[in-house]
Amino acid sequence: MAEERSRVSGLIFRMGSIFTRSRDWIISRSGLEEMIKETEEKKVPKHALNPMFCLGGVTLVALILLGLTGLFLDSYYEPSDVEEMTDVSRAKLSIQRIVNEVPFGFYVKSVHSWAANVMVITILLHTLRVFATGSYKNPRELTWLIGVLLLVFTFTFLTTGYVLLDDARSQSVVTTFSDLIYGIRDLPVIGGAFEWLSAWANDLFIGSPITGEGVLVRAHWIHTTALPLVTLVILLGHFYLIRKHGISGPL
Amino acid sequence: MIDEVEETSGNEAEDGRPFLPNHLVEELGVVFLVTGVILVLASLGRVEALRMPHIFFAGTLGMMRGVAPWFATIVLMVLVIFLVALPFLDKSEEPHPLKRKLFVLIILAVIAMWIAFTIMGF
Repeated sequence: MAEERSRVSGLIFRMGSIFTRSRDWIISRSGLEEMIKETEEKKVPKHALNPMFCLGGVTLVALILLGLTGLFLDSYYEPSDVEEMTDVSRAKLSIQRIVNEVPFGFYVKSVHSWAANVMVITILLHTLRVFATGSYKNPRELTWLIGVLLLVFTFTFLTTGYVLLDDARSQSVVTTFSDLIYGIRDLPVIGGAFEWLSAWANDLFIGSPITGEGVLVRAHWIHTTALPLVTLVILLGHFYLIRKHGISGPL
Repeated sequence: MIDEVEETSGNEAEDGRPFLPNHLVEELGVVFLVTGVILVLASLGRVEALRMPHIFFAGTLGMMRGVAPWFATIVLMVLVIFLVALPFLDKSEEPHPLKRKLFVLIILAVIAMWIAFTIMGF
């Protein structure tokens, strides 16, 4: 029994030793040593855990949840308006399949939907907090500008996400977006000069005022490929600037 | 003319709490809390997150119905331009909102207008 115990503890010790050596090897080869040391010495202001200063982090958590659930949903979603039966497109059918047939499909779709709402609400509150505490001032102007871009991207995510549902809601969103683009053409006095811009933008983003294949394919590409990639790059820039300038002070 | 950048160390909290492990543990607590709330909300039966007309689009719809589509286009464009220009318009070093009355009034007016149009859009 004692021999067995010493064999087990020896195995654990050897595994621990392998882990320690692997960790040290990765740290020495990657040059992470300095970064780890800096993190160990780093101090954070006391107000950083104030709920109003956590809203950016909450937005990030929601974004990560959206990314994970989005990967799952995208593996079943079909961005096609080809009708398999009367008035039911492949896109709509694939959503019905996710909700009714795919294991945990409904739950994952529901998490995606709630996370999207949480993200929109928290990014708006985060923007208001940054405004209220004057955190956009020198030297954080660039952090603010990137944040505004992320705010616009969030609403683009929301809009394209609704379009992908291919139901009454997406029809409503596409019509609203189309009206907004045509709004450029209808601007008093100067509208005529921008008619080409509204026609071009409508053709690029919508193709036609009703949800069709062009709209679904474009929205799907924007929602799942273009925006996530650009957002990731911009987000890294946002984090870099926050790390460089630190958390802004309380009021 | 480029403004002088204020010196910041990025780790300005000399009297703050250590990042490791104190702050990290508390941050992870927030992460689990938020994830938990979303997971619980999602498990509340077959309830859609929010019903149509969606609250986030209702403001735009309200402007379109109440005034005109071109008005909504202008408002959204001006709003984005204002947010982009804000750090260059508000050059004061004063962070307290009560000492930046003009900009606070503008933001409050925008919020009030948005709420009104959101109600109209429903």
